[in-house]
Amino acid sequence: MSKQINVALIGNPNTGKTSVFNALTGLNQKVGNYPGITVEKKEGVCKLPRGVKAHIIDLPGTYSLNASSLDENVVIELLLNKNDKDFPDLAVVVSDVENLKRNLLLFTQIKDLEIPTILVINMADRMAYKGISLDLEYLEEHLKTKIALISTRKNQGIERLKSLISNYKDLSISHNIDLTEIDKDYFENLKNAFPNQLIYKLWLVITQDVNFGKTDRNEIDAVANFKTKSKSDLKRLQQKETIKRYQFINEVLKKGQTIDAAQAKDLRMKIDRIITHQVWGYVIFFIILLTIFQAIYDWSSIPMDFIDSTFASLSEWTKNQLPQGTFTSLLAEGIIPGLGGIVIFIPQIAFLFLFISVLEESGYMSRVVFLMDRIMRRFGLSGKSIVPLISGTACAIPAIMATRNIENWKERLITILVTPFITCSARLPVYLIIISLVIPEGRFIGLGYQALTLMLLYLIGFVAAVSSAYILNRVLKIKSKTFFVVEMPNYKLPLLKNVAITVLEKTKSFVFGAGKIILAISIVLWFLASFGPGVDFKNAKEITTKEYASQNLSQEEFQQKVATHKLEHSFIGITGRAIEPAIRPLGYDWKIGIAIVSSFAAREVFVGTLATIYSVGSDEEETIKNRMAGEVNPILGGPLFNFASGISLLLFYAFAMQCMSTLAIVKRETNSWKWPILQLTIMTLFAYIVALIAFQLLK
Amino acid sequence: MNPFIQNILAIAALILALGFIITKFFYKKKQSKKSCGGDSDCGCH
Repeated sequence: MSKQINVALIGNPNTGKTSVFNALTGLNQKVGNYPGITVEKKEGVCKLPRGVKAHIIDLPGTYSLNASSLDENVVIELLLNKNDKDFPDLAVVVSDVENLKRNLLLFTQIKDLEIPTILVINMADRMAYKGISLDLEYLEEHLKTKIALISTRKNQGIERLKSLISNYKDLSISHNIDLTEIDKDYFENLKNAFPNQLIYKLWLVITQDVNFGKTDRNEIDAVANFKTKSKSDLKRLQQKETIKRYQFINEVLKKGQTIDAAQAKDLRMKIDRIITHQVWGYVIFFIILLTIFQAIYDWSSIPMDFIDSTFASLSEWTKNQLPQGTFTSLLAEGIIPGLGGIVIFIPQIAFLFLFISVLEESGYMSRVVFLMDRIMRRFGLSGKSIVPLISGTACAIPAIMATRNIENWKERLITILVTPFITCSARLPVYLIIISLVIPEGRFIGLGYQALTLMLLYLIGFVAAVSSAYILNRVLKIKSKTFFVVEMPNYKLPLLKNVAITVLEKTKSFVFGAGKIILAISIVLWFLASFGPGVDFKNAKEITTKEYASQNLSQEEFQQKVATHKLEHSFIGITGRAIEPAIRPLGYDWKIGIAIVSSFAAREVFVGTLATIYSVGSDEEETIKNRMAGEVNPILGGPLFNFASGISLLLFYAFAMQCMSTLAIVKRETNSWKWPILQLTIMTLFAYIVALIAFQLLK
Repeated sequence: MNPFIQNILAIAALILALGFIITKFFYKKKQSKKSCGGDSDCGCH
């Protein structure tokens, strides 16, 4: 029978825990060269020799067992609760060879919980660059553990780690630190009061500020009765404990680690000085952004045009090759154009994530976080809010979850509330199609107007986020502030494999995640657009014949008039016209109104919806872009998507809270409907007003 | 293809689509505590 053991991967942020997790389990969890990627535990299975299976749990990064944020809490909750089904049989502490001293603090704490512990020293490939050499035998002896020196980048040392995990029973569980050396009386008393309890566990329970939901309540209460020291005394004792641990670590590393500065070939400081410079840092960041947006446009235009025309031909082919009927029409006018509306954006989404992934992998993103911290502080937020805001460029959902590492509740709440302003990848299809319709293709000093507009929209999102943070900061009156420490990881040449995985996963999630919703909505919309109540819909042909009897229409023109009449009197047409008065002042017709309403499910649905509505009843082989470009404003005449209505739409999508899933996650993270409802109302109202002003000024 | 079959297929597609939308946005299954925590469970799409 196979045996399963629980293995917890623990370590400081950005030591490569998730890379170790991926190497052990063969999974492809997201990794990045900046702290705070993992905010929840992740699980996987690693098969070991002799039929043993290791249930690997990748925990969020923490600097110590003194928790101050929700993600750090996850680690301590698990380690203190023996009744948890995931309680580890073995802890694998992942450390970074360049920051061993700091990483060992957490190691010694876990060791003192009497959990069998292996020390993994990751990034071994950096040792030569840094002139570091280690006496592993000495370290193993004095830290009372087994060490695996590995490099996840070069896939070295993983087999040794697996072998150590399978022999975890041979590991010593003796302590690194004797707590009674810190305060003899206090810890002796504690030991006497609870003779059957592990003293370090009790000490952690006493000193934690947070509420351990899963930890044995009775145990905490019993200890709480013992709590004879004041809070400030406990803090002082905690500091003494940390000093004691560092004294021990220094002593061990004095002989176990040698750093030869003469051998180190490190350019890092010099590069950092330039790219985090208070002027040049921002200039470089701005240039990088410009390059990214320009490249997104330049590189993706050919594949986009190809995809667009392929879908138009596929739709036409389906109509011609399959027997006529309801299902054929559904395929040709509903499903294919709807899917085309999402597949067309694959090149741009892939290029965007390619750049983001390279920036993350190289270590540049941490420098951006550092740069942004300077700006954020002026708006009353700490740099900790920057990680969620930057993650928000992909999707607001994981970004809002990433706010869990912000200790201060009000600061966290503000970050949750403003994150949806950041331009997420779901807005990209809407922006791209509208920009291509209303912004000319010309260039200014080599930069395309369209790319500049796209960048401007990203900046508008960021400005809206920080401005609303400033207002909320005043309204909510934040008194306490959290400090922000960001670790500057080393610059690394991005690993092709990691970049490829990120691009593939993000693109897949965009296409298949949004694709399912778009497919379902396209089908429903096609039915609503193809059928309608009453005689107006039923007798469309007769009514159109009567209406245009005096005009000499060609057969094609006549069919078009019938299709338009039918669409206007279909279920969707009736609904659309009912909401039209509310959106008419913004320059939109009822079809755009339907697209806005349906894109509340997911913003990307906007393009697919319009593609489906415009396809119903149309016999021409047309691309989505051409169909949109050909739409005429029924009241003002001229193109429906002109500069005024286009800018109005872009601004509406920049500010509106058009995402049901984000609202659900805000509800979950704030544990209240109050905040998502407020967020929805204020953002939508603001978006409406801005779009209205823009259209009225520009028309 | 028989028009009857075409209608049946179209209606089946509609039922499936409506079922998907309802389960996705209105009757959400209780999330397992064993979250993988990756991007795929972000639920944003």
